[in-house]
Order: sequence, then structure tokens, then C-alpha cells
Amino acid sequence: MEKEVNTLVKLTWFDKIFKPQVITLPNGHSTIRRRSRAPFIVALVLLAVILSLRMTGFDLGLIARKFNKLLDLMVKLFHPKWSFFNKVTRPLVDTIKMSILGTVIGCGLSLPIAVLSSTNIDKSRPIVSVLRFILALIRTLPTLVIALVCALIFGLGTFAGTLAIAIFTFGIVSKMLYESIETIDMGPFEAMEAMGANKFQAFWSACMPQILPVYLSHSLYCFEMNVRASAILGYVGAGGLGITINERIGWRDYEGLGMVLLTLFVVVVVIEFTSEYLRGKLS
Amino acid sequence: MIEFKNVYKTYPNGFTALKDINLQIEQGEFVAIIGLSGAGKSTILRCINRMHDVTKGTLTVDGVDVNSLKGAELRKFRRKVGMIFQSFNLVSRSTAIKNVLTADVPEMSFFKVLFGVFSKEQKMRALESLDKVGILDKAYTRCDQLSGGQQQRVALARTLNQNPKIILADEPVASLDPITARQVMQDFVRINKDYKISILLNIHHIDLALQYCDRVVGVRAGEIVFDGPASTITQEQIDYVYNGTKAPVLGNGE
Repeated sequence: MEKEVNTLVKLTWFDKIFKPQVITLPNGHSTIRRRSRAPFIVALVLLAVILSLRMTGFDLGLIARKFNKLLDLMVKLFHPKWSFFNKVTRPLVDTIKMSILGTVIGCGLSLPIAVLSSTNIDKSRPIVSVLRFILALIRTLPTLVIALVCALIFGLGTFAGTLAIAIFTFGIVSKMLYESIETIDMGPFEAMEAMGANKFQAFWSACMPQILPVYLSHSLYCFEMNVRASAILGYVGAGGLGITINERIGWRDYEGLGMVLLTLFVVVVVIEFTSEYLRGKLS
Repeated sequence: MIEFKNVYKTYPNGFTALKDINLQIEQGEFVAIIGLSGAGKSTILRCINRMHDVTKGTLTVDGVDVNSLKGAELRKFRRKVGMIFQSFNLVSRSTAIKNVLTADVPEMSFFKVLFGVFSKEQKMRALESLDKVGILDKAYTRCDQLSGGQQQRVALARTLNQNPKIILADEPVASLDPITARQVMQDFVRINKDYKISILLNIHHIDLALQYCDRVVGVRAGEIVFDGPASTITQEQIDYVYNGTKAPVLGNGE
């Protein structure tokens, strides 16, 4: 019996250093209990934390000393300058316009590409591979980088931002959509072919009704993300609220900044609730 | 008339599903095909509308060699052959009438299909098809809210809407409860008698096959081992269709 127990537990180098405990019952049967690895792992994590604190020059004392300043800033942020609202509206509208237009363009392009990237509909292996590779390439670029490049090429302003959002949306929605398309029921498609429909007719009548709600849902979700993302794009000069945020920080006008952030927060929450409600209706 | 002459079917993976099939079915017959899973029942059906190709031999439907059809010709031929599936194959998110209307899609222009424009006549005809199977009241209900039996009736209405001469039904009642299965079988009988449509169906319920169908074809390991009126088949002959086969190598069809 003891031998059997021993063969069941594979001993590693760890067990050779820290010998397992043998528990013997009064009737002579025994089992072994290996020493816990937890203290060892905790020690490793602690070591990693200490090392990274040293390397990044993290200083707890600095936080303590500057705590008052932090508090000061927070107080100002939470006392938004209401009169500044008038100056927020224009860039805010710009941001929303950028998000809507960018989302529409990106999603419009993504539908045909997603269909052509779905293995259940597009039987051509090379086309699928090439399209998916391009999509993966687009997705690896952060939106901020795309926006920076667009701003460099097309000049500062909302056009660069819109384009950046469109490209980003295209990459994400195509990916989400082709994964959804691959899970649709192909039975109706088969039925259409058996009735004498050609591939397009069968796809359009049998697959599109299944794809469309998923497509709209993904598009709405991406729009949500884009409103948040586009607020930042102004940082690299791509227009919208980001410019105002950057400017307020530069002016040390934290009450103004508080107003900008509050407005953004309200808009994002409203859009997210609306989008969630609409997506709920779609399923 | 459907005529199989020495038909063989071998799948790309080397599995021979049909061996030397000879079969003649006259217009207006109601035929049940019985046999174990993997015996080749589905393959027989799917060769008739060329969802599968025949490897050897000839298969003619109303004098047309099915295997020689291509592209538009094949699609035109398929208009005359309706198909019913075990899992209904309806767009479950769409309403019953929308599903029935898809039967008209193959004859519509590109833009009408693209925008889903159906004429008033088409809609009225679709409603009539639903009425023929007794579920007119469910016309504007989404299919995912219908019971299995109702869904199979919508599928039947869709097939009727294409005005077929032949209906191929692949296990039409296999996913239905016994009571609903009987009702759907009665629908088939009515359609067969009222519209003189030939019906071929694969079925696992021998009792239903014997009760509702006129003729029974028994398939065993890709060969026809019984062919005769449902009233004359004996228990020994049924046992022969179902016994002594080696374990099915492949599921039905694919």
C-alpha cells in the first residue's frame, strides 16, 4: 500500500529538498503529504515586487510628502468650473461626431471583409488567411499610434481622428464579426441551395438575417469604446475633447479640467446605457 | 418519374455509401426509405436533387440526367424538388412568412433579393402555403417561438411554396414527439393525395412508415434489400433490413 501511494505522487526536486511528510494511520496504512509550495511562491513574488520598486525608483515617501498637493488637485477636479461648460460643448460635439462617423465607416467596411474572412462561407483558404493577417496587423497598432500617423499625414484636426477611429473599428469589428459568423446555423443555407438558390441568394436570405443583429450589436459596442478612445486622440492632435484636456492641464486649470471630465463621464455613461439597452433588444 | 440505374456513390474518404442501386418511383408515389443510420438513406435522397454527386450509373428525374446538370440548369431543376430536413433548417430569428417567402428568392432579381422586396401576390401565396399546413395563425410569429411540429410545418409550407413535383424529406419526424410526428405524417399524406406530389422520406419509425406510406424501400449497407408495398412487408423482411449489418461506418450522408 505504501509503495502504491509513493508511485502515485511524482516527486520533484522541490520534494527532495523539503522531504514530504509521511502520515501513518493506526492500522499501518500511510500516505504522503508534500510540503506546500506556497511560501516559496510568496517569497518569489515579494522579491519581484521589491526588485521592480527599486528599478522604477518608486518612493513611498514622495507620495506622502506630495499628498497635500494630490489632495489639492482632487479637490479642484471635484469642484468643476460650471461656466467652462460653454467651451466644452464644441470639442465634445467634435468628439462624438468623430466617433459616429469613424464607427460608421469602419463598420461599413468590416461587413464584407468579415464575411470573406469566415471559413464557413468563404471556402478559399488563401483569401481567408491573407485577410485575417491584415486584420491582425491593424489590431496590433494602438489607436493612439494610428491617430498620430493620421495626424502626421492629413494634418491636425478631426479628420485624422475620424480616420484613426475608422481604421481601429474596422480591425476590431471585422474580427468579432467573423468569429460570430462562423457560429451561425448553416442549415437554412443548405435549404436555400436545395431550393435552387445560387450562393448569393442563399447567403443573403439564410445567413444575413442571422448575421445582421450580431453585426449591429458589435457596431454599437465599438461605438461605446470609440467615444472613450476619441477623447484621448486629441492628445496627438487628432481633434476633439483631448485637445481641451491637454490645454487645461497645460494651464493648470484643474477646475476647468474637472468640468471637461465630468461632461465626458456623463456622455459616456449615457451612451453606454443606451447602447446596452439597444443591444439587449437585438438578441 | 425518378429512376436510379446501377447507381454507385463513393465519398471522397473512400466510403461506398450506395452499391448498385436500381429504383423506379412513379409520379405521385409516397415512399418510405428505412434502414439503419449510415445505410445510405440520406445519400439516396441527396443524390436525387444533386446535393451529392453520383459516382457511377445514371439517375434520371422526368427523363433528365441529373448528373449532367450544371449551374443555372441545376438550380432550375432543384426548383421542382422540395427538401425537408430533420432540424427544419429555418431561419429561426425570422417570422414564419419570411421563411416561406424565401422559396421565391431563387427566381427574383438581384436587387429585389438585396432589399427583400416581395410583391403582394407573393405574400398572399406564402400565406396560402401556410394555410395548407394549418398554421396560418402563426404567420407573423418568429420561428424560434414555435414548437418543433409547428416549425416542421413552416418548413413544409416553404417547400409547398416552391410548387415542387417531388418532396424529399430527410428524417422529417425524428426530432418530434410521437403525437406531433403523427400529425406531420398526416400532413405529408394530405399533400401527397391533394397535390399529387411524389414524396420520398427517410424514417426510423417503422410503425409510422407502414401506417402512412404506400411503398417501403429497405436499405442495408448501401444496397436495396426490400422494395414493395407497405402492406406486404413481413417482420422477417424488416429484421433483415435492420439486422446483420456491420456497425455503421458513417453517419447519414455527410
